[in-house]
Amino acid sequence: MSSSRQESPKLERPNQPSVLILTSLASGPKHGYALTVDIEQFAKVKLGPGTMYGAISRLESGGFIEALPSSDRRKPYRITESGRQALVEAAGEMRSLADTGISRLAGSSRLSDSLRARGKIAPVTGVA
Amino acid sequence: MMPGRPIENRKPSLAVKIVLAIYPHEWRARYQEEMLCLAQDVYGPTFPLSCVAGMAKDGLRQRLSSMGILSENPLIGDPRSQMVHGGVLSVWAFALVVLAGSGFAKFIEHWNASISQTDSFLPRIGAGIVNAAAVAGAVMVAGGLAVLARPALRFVREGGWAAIKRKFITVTCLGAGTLAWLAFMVKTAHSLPAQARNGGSVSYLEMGLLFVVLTTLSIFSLASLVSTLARGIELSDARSKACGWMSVMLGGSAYLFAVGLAIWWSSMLVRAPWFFGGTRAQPSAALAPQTLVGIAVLTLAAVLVASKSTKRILVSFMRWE
Repeated sequence: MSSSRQESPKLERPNQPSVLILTSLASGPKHGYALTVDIEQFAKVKLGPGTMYGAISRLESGGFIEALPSSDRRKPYRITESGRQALVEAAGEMRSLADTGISRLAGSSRLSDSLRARGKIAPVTGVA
Repeated sequence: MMPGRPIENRKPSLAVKIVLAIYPHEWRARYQEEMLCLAQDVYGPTFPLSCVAGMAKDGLRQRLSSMGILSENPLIGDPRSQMVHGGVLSVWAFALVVLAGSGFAKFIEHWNASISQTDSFLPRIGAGIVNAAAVAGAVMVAGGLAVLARPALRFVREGGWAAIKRKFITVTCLGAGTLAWLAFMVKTAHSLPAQARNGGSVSYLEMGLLFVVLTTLSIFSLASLVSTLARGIELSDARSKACGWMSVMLGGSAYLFAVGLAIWWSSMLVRAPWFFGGTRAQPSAALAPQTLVGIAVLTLAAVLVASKSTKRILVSFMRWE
């Protein structure tokens, strides 16, 4: 049987539909419409039905999510343990990238003023 | 949970039905109803063009994934799935080589008669390399069958038949149809003069074109079946790696074919350009440009797919402990 190296599961790029779906499911099971509405609220991204179910089929075949029984056409999905691990890894990568970008930009006064005005970075205090 | 609109079980429009046909049958059986329900929840009974276009794009992606051309595994860095995908791509590269090679073999019939013995040295080298590519590929395919036959049978016996049944039936029907058409063409050819067989008869040309279409569909459906099997069977590490190396060599036959083709073509263009005009041994001048373009496109596609295959397999070897 396989003894290939056990890497922790790693998803495609962090802003891809798979990551958005796992993020939404992290707060509880949802069906396709609930996922669409939730993702549009937190990520400002509207996933089309083809994109949504393309990503759901890839996640389900990879064992990151599983379907729950349902009596109507809308089938809810929930995240699995494998999916949680993959999401933790993807979120960690995104955070690291965001922290690096913001700390480098903080040195640039015009850009950092803009970020402060939008509440993206902390205000400067105690400057002589 | 968000309720969505009241459930309406409307039949999809003709445009949506055409788009849904792009998706593989197994995918439709599992997800079609949910996807249509979501579209109705979001857009109501009539879907906008953007929604239908998005479904078409994702349908094409699902179809290419089911054929093994696109990887459907969302995991990156998983050496086993990369190896399998690379192996499947090498099968597709060889399928393209077989198609290009068949066209090339038909096109260069009687080329020897168009050129003197002294001038034919380089073209003979080119043709020899093309033949070597075909033999190398066939040997790798035979080796792959030897390694994979028992695991494949085990997969089918343990419930995998459902996953490959449709594709198996498609391959069988297309293969039988192609052979039957070939037999009919051979019987017809015996009653035609040489000039008619070599492009002088329009109806025989049309029969030939249909044969090309059937052969292409047969080869592609066989490659699709092989890709489904490859992704379903379980292999030990040793067998997986052996298959990986055979796949690299199978993909290598595409490069060899391209080199042989380039040598033959360029040397014949210089030493016997009249062969391409169809005025001596081969009167099918009307077909020459289309055939050449077709062979060139197939060869280029084979080289590109073989490159992607080789890269995937070598990366998976590096990641594999």
